[in-house]
Amino acid sequence: MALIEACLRHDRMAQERLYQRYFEEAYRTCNRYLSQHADVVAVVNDGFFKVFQKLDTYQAALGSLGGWIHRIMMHCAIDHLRKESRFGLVTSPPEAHAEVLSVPNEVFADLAVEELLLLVKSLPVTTRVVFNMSIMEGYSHREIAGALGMTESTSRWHLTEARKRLQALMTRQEKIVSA
Amino acid sequence: MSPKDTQEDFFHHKLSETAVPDWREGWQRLEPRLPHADDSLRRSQRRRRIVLWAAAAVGLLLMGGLWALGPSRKPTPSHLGRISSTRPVPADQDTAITAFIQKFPTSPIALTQETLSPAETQSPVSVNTDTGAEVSSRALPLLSGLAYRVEKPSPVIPPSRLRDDPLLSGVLSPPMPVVASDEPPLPPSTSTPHPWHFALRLNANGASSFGAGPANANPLFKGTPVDIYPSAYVAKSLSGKVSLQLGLAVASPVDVRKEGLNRSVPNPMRAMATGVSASQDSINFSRLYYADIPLTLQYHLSDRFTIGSGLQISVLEKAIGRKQQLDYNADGLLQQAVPEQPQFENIAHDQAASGMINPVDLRMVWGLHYRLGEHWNLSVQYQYGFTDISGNRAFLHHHVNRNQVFQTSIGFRLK
Repeated sequence: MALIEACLRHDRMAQERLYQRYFEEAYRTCNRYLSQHADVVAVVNDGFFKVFQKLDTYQAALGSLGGWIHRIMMHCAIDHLRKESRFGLVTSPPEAHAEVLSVPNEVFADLAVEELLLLVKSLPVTTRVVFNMSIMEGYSHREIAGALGMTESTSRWHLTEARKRLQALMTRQEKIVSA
Repeated sequence: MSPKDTQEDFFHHKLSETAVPDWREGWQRLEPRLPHADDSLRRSQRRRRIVLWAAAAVGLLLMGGLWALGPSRKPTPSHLGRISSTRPVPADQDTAITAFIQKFPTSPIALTQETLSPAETQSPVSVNTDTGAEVSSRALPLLSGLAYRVEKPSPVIPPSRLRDDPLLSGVLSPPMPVVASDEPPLPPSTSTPHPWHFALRLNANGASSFGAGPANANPLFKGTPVDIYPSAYVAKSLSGKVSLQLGLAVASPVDVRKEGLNRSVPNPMRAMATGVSASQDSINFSRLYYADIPLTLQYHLSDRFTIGSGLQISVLEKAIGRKQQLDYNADGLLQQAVPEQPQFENIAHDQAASGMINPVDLRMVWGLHYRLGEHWNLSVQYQYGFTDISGNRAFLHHHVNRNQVFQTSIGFRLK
């Protein structure tokens, strides 16, 4: 709380301290949604700018500061994607759910972290956002549908599509490595 | 657990370990965008300046209004016009007035400022003021006066002129006193006028230098403590309208512990920045006693209203407080506070208190006083300090830069 109070007084040292403490988590959050490093840093900074602006509205009783900052970062990343017009709302009825391919767990174990991240980033934007919100953030389809302005079934379709594409990508990568 | 869940857990786990660049790069880009504490201070200063100017403008309007409507003004021609037109001439005087008017039935009256009554004139004509004869407009520049043709057969003639006229001598009654004020007249004074007088006052202060926390960056008397204390003053009359007033008060025995003067110094964020535990001295002030000595010039607008302005010097007499040592851990969190002295006492001259509070403050004072009767009066005063306290360590987190005091008082004049 002392750190928050100091930040509210525009104490630059305290703001730097808060930035340092939550930068890693904020960067990882935005990095999963955005593909370019420069975009990620810009969005992280936009997020922290909002954090410092709205810090007086933060209520400790409703959750941790880290969780509050995490949500701000996620919304900043989604807003950035919207602004960049790379993230259109999918309103058409989803296709029939495809069968999920089975990928051996060993394939996952062999993949490096950066390779996994590249696989996620290679997903279409909307699919990537739904995948991140569902798998990484733990949002329900109802919450995702409400946040992104789509139906729950569309959200489910995107998640299935993400799984299908990721497994296809991993299978292909495994074949390349084996060859 | 299904393979799908295992893989998603794996995703979740792995993606939480991605490499992160150095945070300093991002911070260097963000820092210039962040507002400084000075920015909000500057905004509050600007707002305060606007409020002051608005208050000054209202004060000037009020003073102008009081001056214009004050009872001490001499009757002007327009007053006379109103009086002569709204007071019917008594029946027994009609004949004399009519006779006077018939003596000059047609000649235009060269209107001077005294006889000018626009309601009864039609158009300006050039008139030789000596002879009363009309002249051509071409000769106008050569003549000294411009007059108005009075076309109505009953020109407005001021009562003073009527009274001076030998024809009406003894006909009109003596001039009646003109009452041009709504103020109730004061009861006749029982004391003899004296160039000196002494008075006691009971004051209630609201000070904006305290209580301006981060949530109320610009409170301007909002949520400020009210301090009630007595004072005395002596006034010397310089002329009929002006007097000089010197006062003395011991102000601010209010408890300021809740108002922020219990801040520890230096800033504990230093300990946080270094990432090591640290101990700092802290001073908690409870009460500050200032001796206020105002010297003001008073101008009596009317029997009841007086305005005043001047300077006030405030000298710190006592600062009641307690020193303690604060221990912080590496995260900058307060671990314990160890009192260095058991109770609050005067530490105004303690070395550790130096720089936290100002020993002297000079303030500008504006006031408006209303006399209730022979002895009692009500006053409102506004004080604005010249001393910049924004660098004062006790006020570092308070977004204030000047002492401001709004004071209401009730006074009793002894002599």
